[in-house]
Amino acid sequence: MNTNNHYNKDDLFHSLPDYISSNVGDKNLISEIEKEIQQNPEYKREYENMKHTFGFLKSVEPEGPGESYFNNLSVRINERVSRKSIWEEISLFWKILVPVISIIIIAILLYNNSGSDKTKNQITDNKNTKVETKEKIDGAQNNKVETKEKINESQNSKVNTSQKETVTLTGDKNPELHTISKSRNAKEKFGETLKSKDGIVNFDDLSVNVGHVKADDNFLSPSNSIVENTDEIVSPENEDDLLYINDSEDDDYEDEFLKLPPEEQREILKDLNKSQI
Amino acid sequence: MTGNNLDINSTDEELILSFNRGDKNAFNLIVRKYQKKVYWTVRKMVLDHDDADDLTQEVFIKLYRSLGEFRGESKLFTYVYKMAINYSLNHLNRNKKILSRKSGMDNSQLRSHDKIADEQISSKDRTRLLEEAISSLPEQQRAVFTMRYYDNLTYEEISGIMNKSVGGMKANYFHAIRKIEKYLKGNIKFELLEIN
Repeated sequence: MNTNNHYNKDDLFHSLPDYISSNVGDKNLISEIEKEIQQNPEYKREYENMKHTFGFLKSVEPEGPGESYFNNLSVRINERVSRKSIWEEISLFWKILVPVISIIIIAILLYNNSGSDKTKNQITDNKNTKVETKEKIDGAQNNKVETKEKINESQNSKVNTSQKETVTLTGDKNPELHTISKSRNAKEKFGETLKSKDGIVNFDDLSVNVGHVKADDNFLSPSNSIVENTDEIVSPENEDDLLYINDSEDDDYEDEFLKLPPEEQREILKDLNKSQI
Repeated sequence: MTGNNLDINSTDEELILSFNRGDKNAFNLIVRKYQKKVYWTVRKMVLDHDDADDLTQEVFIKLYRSLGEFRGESKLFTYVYKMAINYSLNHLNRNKKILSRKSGMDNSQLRSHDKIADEQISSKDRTRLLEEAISSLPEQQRAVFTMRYYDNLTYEEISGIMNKSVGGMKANYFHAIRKIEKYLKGNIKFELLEIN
């Protein structure tokens, strides 16, 4: 491509529109463009096409608004200016009002939040009281359980007491048994004594024997023997004071027993043996 | 003439001074002085009359508010013209998708027909074709095309408005013409586009 030293290819191409619309003032540039059109077919084709385009552009008449539009334009602009200034005043008002309102809203929100916090606290308090109530209920239930346990314990203690009583009773019976066993021994001895008289019970002998027994085992002096025996089994310092207290009753029973005829005594002894107390 | 002996032929300095002294009529005179130029600049850019009307009013409202700060560093018309171009470019950027969609739809409608001979194209269709061709341009090329072709601004003036180099503005103008040419070639029997 033939280009001048001052104008390169791009300069010549970019100057084509101005050349076509006769807006190039530089004579050197004009001569260079004309030379290029004659010598360079690519450049010439570009020139032809662009010439057609400018022909089309010139042929288009822009359809504009009538004169009335331009006569009223300044009036409408003034209206908008005054309208805008009102809006500006309002916007100034809003510039003050919006922060104030936002502050109020924030304050309300904060107040509500604090209120909700209070409510939350109240709720948590209520929950706590509920929990406490539950705990109390649980405590009460535990107390109930404890009470039950206590009841059980008391029942147990009752049982224990009864057991103790039983024990006491057993303890109570023991001296009796002891007495009974002693009396059994005495009875055997008594029987032996009776048998020694050829099976015939002699009242005198009996009395002698009884006296023997009395002398021997203190069988006929129950108060002494029993007291001695009970001393051996139960001490008054022990918890089984009942035994000690019931000694008088036992004495009464022994007295009654002793008052009974010998047959009845034997029967009682037999029954006692059978009962295996 | 007004009470301050101002009219549409008064100088910009006189009008601005009067306006800054509180004469609202001075502003009306500025509007009347430049309204057609501003409207057509905007109209060539955005193509639609209603948009151009709205934008023209916006430009003058902006001028009304900023006239007190105008220090006369440039000519008043350059100041107003720059505002008009910027407003138009902003508008185009805002409506880029809408316009491209509309343009695409119109193109498809146009391509559904055979190429029309230039002599058969009515004035209305010519205007529509040109508007479609212009709307297919990128914003910057469209602005440069408008400023150079319609408003005859020098490349120095255009580069001052667009804050770009003179060479870049020249290239933009060249490519804008080529794109319009390409668009028209696709829709018109080009051999009939001869001009005298």
